[in-house]
Amino acid sequence: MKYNLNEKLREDYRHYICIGITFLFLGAGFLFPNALPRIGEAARDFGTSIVYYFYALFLDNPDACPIRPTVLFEQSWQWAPSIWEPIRIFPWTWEEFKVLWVQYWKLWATLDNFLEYVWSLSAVLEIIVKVITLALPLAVPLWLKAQSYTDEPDEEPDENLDTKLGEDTKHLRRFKRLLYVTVYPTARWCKDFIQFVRENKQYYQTWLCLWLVYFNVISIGIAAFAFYFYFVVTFDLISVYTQIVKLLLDLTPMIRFIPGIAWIVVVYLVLNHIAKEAGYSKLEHNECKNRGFLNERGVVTVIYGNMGTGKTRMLTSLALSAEKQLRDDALEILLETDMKFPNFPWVRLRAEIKQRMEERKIVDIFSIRRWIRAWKKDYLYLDENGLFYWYRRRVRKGKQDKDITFGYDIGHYRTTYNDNLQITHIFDAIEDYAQAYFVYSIQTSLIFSNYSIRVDFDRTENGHFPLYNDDFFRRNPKYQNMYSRYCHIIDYDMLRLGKRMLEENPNKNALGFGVYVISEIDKERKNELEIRKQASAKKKSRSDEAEEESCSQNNDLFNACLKMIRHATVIANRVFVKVLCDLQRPEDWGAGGREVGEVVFIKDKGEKAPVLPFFSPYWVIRGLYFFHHGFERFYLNYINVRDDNTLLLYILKNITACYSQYIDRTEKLFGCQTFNLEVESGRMDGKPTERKFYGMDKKDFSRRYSTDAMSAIFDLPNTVSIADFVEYADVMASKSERDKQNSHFQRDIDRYVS
Amino acid sequence: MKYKGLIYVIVFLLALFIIGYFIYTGAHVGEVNVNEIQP
Repeated sequence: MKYNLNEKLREDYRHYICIGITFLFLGAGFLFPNALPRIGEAARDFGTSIVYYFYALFLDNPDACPIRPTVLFEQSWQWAPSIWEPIRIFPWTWEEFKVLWVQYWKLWATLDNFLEYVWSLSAVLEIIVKVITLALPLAVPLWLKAQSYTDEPDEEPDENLDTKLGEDTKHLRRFKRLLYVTVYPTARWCKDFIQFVRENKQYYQTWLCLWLVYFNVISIGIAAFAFYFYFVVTFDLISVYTQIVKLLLDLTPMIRFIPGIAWIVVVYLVLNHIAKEAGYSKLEHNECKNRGFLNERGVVTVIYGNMGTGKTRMLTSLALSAEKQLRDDALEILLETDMKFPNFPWVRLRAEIKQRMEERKIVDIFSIRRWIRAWKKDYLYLDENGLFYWYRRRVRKGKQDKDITFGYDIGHYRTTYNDNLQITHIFDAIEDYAQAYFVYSIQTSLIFSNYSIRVDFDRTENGHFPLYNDDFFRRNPKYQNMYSRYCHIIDYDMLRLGKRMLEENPNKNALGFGVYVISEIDKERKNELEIRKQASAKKKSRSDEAEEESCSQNNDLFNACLKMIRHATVIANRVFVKVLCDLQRPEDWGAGGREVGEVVFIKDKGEKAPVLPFFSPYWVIRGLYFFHHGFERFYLNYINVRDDNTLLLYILKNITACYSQYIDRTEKLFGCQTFNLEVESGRMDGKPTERKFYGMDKKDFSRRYSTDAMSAIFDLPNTVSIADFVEYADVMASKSERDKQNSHFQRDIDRYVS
Repeated sequence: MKYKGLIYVIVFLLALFIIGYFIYTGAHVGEVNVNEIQP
């Protein structure tokens, strides 16, 4: 009970603070006496512009209008004297501007003017020199003290002393106590207060309205509409200049009231925001270019390159883009089919599909085709025998379970569509739509892979048509677990048309649309030479009968499936399958599989850099990296000679950490690397074509996959450390040292020598 | 590039210097002579 009362009192007293702030802001209104009259003036401008607009529109004689549009007049400050001196950078009329324009450039090119400017900068330099002069007496002892921290101790540390590692010094303890008692509680209270204001919207909405009035933002908005209605009937371009001058005068209270230092912060925030949006735009543009690269490729694409060039990274990135592409292709078919028969009740078809998916009556595109074709057969029978209207009457009376035409008004709308290539029957369109909707709406990843890939598409449905948000770049990792799922485990039996590992595998007939990702496919499929060696080794160990029955790369017809796979996944003449693989050497995969598709070689990678524009504050902040480097040198020396924490180290380290974290977060969010590729046919007998691919850290490294996905192979019981291995005694290896290598080469040498 | 950061800072200060000169000239350009205005 006491806790609840205290809670209520705490809440109540923040209300009092907010009310106090509101009265303070109301009092600030005396600093802006012309704010309300200016709104009245803007409303008058709007009224006169509207009258002028109707005169021009309906009477076609704006000169006859009895009222002159007042939006062209300068603001009147006659109601109350303003304490803010108007900002007059530009002259009032266009004619004055033309004259001053010529004078301006004459003055700009004058040496005297330039020298006076440089001389005026001395005022700024004077301030900087004063700051340096004040700071230098502090900086030098600080630097000397920092150096003393990293000096070698005069005596060896006493091993008998029970020193606590990472212990804080006396000054640091006092400083931390000061932070814990004053700064942290204040910061926490401010955060809670901001949250309180957010929850009680009436306060900040009131404050916002007051300041919008004081800063003439509302009058600027009304004046903008007033000018719009004047401009659309006159196209008086010269009056645009007058509006710019008026805007500057209206913004005078805001510009003069807000202190200069705050403007630096505002300019930084605005520049940062614009730069970030430009960065996101660039990332999305690179993603589009990647999609273009992917769409140029065929069904099967193989990636290879030296170790560490980023094959698996590129494979994962392509898989994610391919999944998105499949959904976009499906959506395109839905919209195109919708336009072919715009009056068909597609919503009913979607509901029927959704119900059948939940009842598992349709599980793949073949089951959809069987369903729709059965209904088409029924419809054609009814149509040819003149029974359709009898059927419709039965449907209206509720004597039929389902309406096979979904309520389409066949009497008034057509049942065929002529696209100048062929005649499309309504049921053919329904079949394409149903298949595409199945691909689009199924709530699962479309990727099958032999390693785990995290996918994160955000699906909103609300009971109607689902929409996807699969933005790769604007996701917050804090909420990653909420919208993440993983791709499917690939079952190779479904890609085998011949022998299978499990003959009664329930997945064996499940091959369909999707993105099939196989890493290290050369180890899976092998080449002809290795398969023959494997087959002959098996023959020696097993009987002929047993060897024939087991599934192998020779008899599983995997390559035949690859060649035919596109036939299983065509909807409305679009192929809904991609097979993406990577390997170390193309020759390690037999030609039968490799030559089905294209081979992509990663030649090299460019330097990784954020895709932020030149005006982004990041580049200037990045330029101060030498401070970070200097701190690192100091820090390494510090931890080399001592184990405790001092106040100086604490402050420097936390400041440097803020800087380092900003650079790290920006580079990881906007980091992009260009892959230079060579693409050629799987036969590898022609001239490769050069292409580019963009690897983006935010998309590829957001816990997408594990780069050591196959590391389990090496995770074996072991008790031998790297330090336990014997080291060479001298620069020349002795015979006993060479024997320790267990090397084929050394064994051959010994055999030849003996 | 070894001194990339330093170059960025120098370019930034140079840009501020140039923009400042334009603003300074604008603030010191004279009043319009009525005779110079063409109707």
